[in-house]
Amino acid sequence: MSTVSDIMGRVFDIQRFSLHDGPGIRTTVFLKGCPLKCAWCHNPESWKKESELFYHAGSCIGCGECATVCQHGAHIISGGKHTIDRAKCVGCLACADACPTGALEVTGGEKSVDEVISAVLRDADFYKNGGGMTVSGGEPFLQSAFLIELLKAAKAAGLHTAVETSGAADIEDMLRAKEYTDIFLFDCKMMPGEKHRKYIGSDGVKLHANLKMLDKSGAKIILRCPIIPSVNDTAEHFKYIASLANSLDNLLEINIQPYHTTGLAKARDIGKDDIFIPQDFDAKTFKEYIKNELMPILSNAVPVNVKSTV
Amino acid sequence: MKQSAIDRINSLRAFYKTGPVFTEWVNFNRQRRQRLNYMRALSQNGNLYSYRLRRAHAEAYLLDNMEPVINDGELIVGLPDLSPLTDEEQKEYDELAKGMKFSPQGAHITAAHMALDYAKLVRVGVNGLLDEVNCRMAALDMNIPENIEKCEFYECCKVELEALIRLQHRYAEKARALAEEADGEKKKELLDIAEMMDRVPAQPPRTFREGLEAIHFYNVTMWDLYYFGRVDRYLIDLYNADVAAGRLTHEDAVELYACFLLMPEAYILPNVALDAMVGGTTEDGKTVENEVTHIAIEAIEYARSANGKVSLAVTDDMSDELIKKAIRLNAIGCAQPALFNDRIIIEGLMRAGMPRSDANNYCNTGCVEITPVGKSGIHVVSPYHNLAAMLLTAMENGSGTKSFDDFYRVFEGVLHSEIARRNIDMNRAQMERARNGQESARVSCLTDDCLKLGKAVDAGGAIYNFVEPNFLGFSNVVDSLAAINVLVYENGEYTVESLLEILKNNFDGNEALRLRIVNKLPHYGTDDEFTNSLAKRLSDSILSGCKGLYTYRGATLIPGAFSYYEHARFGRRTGATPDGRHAGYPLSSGSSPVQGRETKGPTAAMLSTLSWDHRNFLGGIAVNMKFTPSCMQGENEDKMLEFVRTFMRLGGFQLQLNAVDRETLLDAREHPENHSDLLVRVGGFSAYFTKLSPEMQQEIIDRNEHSI
Repeated sequence: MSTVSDIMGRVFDIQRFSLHDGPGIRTTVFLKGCPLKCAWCHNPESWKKESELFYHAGSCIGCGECATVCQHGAHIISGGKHTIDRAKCVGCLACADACPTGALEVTGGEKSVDEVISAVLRDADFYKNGGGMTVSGGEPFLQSAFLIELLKAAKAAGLHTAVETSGAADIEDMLRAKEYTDIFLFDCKMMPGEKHRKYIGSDGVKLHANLKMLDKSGAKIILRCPIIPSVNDTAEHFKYIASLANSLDNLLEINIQPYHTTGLAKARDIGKDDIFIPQDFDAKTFKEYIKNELMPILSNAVPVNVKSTV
Repeated sequence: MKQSAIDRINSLRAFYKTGPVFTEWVNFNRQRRQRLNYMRALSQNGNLYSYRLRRAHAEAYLLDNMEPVINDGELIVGLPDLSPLTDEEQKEYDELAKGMKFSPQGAHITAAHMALDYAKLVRVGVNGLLDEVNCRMAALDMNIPENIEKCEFYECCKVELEALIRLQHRYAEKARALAEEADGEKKKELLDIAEMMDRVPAQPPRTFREGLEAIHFYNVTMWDLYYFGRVDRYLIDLYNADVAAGRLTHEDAVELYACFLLMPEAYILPNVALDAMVGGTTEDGKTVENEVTHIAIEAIEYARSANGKVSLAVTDDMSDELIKKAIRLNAIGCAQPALFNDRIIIEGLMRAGMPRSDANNYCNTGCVEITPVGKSGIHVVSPYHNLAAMLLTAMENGSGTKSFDDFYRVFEGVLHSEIARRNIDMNRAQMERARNGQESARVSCLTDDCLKLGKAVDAGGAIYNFVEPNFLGFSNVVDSLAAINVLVYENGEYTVESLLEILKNNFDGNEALRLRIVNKLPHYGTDDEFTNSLAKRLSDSILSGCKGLYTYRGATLIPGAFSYYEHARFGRRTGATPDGRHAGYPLSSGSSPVQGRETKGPTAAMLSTLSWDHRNFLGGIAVNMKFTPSCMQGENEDKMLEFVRTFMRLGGFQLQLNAVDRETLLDAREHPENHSDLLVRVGGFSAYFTKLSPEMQQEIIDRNEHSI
């Protein structure tokens, strides 16, 4: 019979002092693996379930420690320059262990609920005023058993909990998680349909159906709306956000999140080369969209925040 | 605030910043013209019967020969004459300096750095001090030998205080003379100044403005670092009386306080802090938060002064509004107020033997050095100890050690003998001060129990006399000990000798090792249990090294672990250290983690710095945290408030929130190795600046320019 401590989760980051993933000061636990493939993803290292190798070229001093330990010839040092042949890599990750500079870095690893919770509780003193734990991804519901146990443990420790999800989940899992979740940070990336499938990898119908069912169950929701230039920075999309918001009974706020480029460097560093780069982006335009398209339709009296300042 | 007030403050700031203090190196301790007069007097008054009395008369001569300075737009007046010497005067200066054999008194022990009893000055005025001096002098039975020394001390006080009043009256005359030639609003302003200078500091101030003038005027004529103590306690009655009489509004008071804050810009070297402290608690534990508390804090934004500062003693009962004001000022780049933890400091002072009634009335005097207000003969930062150099000595001595604990004992031995050795230097300096004096008699006049005992501060007249030795390189040593533990004793990859050899070569040819230490070994500042325990062990060793040692005046040693610029100065002459620090690179700043090692974010860095008891380090602990302004503003202001409250709740001593400016971001792009702790806000999350792509870094630099 399996016990809580037997369930392992694949975690790629535990970020302390997280100010933007719910109320108060929080620790965000990022679970690895995602069924979606958002073209602009700012966490491209979260797609695969397995651990991956980051190569931060800027930190490499060409010392060759990696080439020495690699049994498969994936690391080539020539003329003091390091190249990496990912086709030869078997994922043993010995190179990252040997690398003195952190240029080679493992992202992702198995952790138990206890391990994650004790890491989260290191900052318990900072959560007093509404803060707590947020679980993000990837898509955390891809590891729903682990997620639910983690939320349960957090609740047992008296923490405020939030889950950031795309909605790509089994609604039964979501409703079970709801018992231990104070707030869902729910994505609204695009209007469901073909374009959704093209950029995200599913048509989005189920995602937004899940959103509505979760809402009807009484779960508290914050809508998180990334605005991607040349993809969804349109009047139509802002109107859609408003109408979706209007259909929800338990919405707390709407976060409009401008596109940023952090995903690009990370994608390059895990060897993902088909990188989507949006066209230029005029921040003023989308503020106009909020004012002229979203606000007039929005009947749900919730705050609309732009989380854009650097 | 009225535009005219803002204009006045801005033009005063601009004017002071073109003055000689900002444009050339002026010896603030005794500016050249003042020093010339001082030397003139000393060279001529050899007939006086003691060196102390000669010094007092030289002080008086200096005050009598000061040209009153009143600048356009000043509401608070009194500045030293910083006009350059003529060629002839310079010649005389050089001649005198050649022949002048100043006693070496006070060498190597820090002067000034104490908060005077300005509450008393506001209560009785200089005349009241003179009355007390005269009465006590008259009551002395001069047939008792020890009273001769007391009498001499009172005479010094009298000579100096009377000269101060003469200077005050010359300010009034000067203001009237200037008023003769002015008209309209300007004439009225000058006549107001004349009337004010008829009154203070000789007589007790009647208004808030006169109160500020009295304390500034008394302070400025000593041109050194004497601190104002708790302005919100001794100026609140004057403020309330003004408001009740309809003479003053809150806004007017902020303008006056901003003018007061700007004065040190004109006579103290840039970036030397001259503080007043506000907030804290009364003897019965009630939080002090009144109109003057808010006025002093609000004035920071208008003054934007580099030297004149306000610090805030934070309490649990203090309003969120006040702390958020403080956060906001730091977010917009004012770099003040510093936030001190009232509870922790009071507990520390009581642990050091103070009754609650004294412990609640302390001030930071310098940077974060804590001393009691109006009762201090304490020497802060005396001396600066270099922990990193001691560790290198321990490596020389500890080559054969078999275990980490053995090695640590060698290091602790070096530390303890160094503390004891330097304490002898400090005591010799105190002995010389006791013989010949160093502080002016005016300092003793506002320090209890000097007048009562008839004893100068230097002779031991103050109630509290502990010495605060200060320890640099705290975090370098914690990280170095951790590295030695792993590399030598756990893994056996190196011996102490082989590691020392690598350090002597400044890691040349061993860059991979250095980077491994930096990137892969445990570091203080990441909330790592092992390094946290080493920090506690090191702080305990510092304490045990101070214990059992006494000062010349019979007081104890109370350590501090912060740095002013000394971490850079000492770093320049300290070889490479096992924490991966190159030779010549600055030591860690204060008790913050080593630069760039706090890679797990601010909460982890904070928890590391809180892993040892701050209450024993009244000599000062500074925890600096850097944020881009947006991390502290808007919806994040409440989160930063919680961060500050948590720091206080967990027993932190002092917190400095720094807004990162554009220059820092540019430097971080060029030298990422020095800035791996720099946290910025990107879209919906916080990230380390140095881990961002070049495009993203550029975006943040561009945006940050606008948000400051």
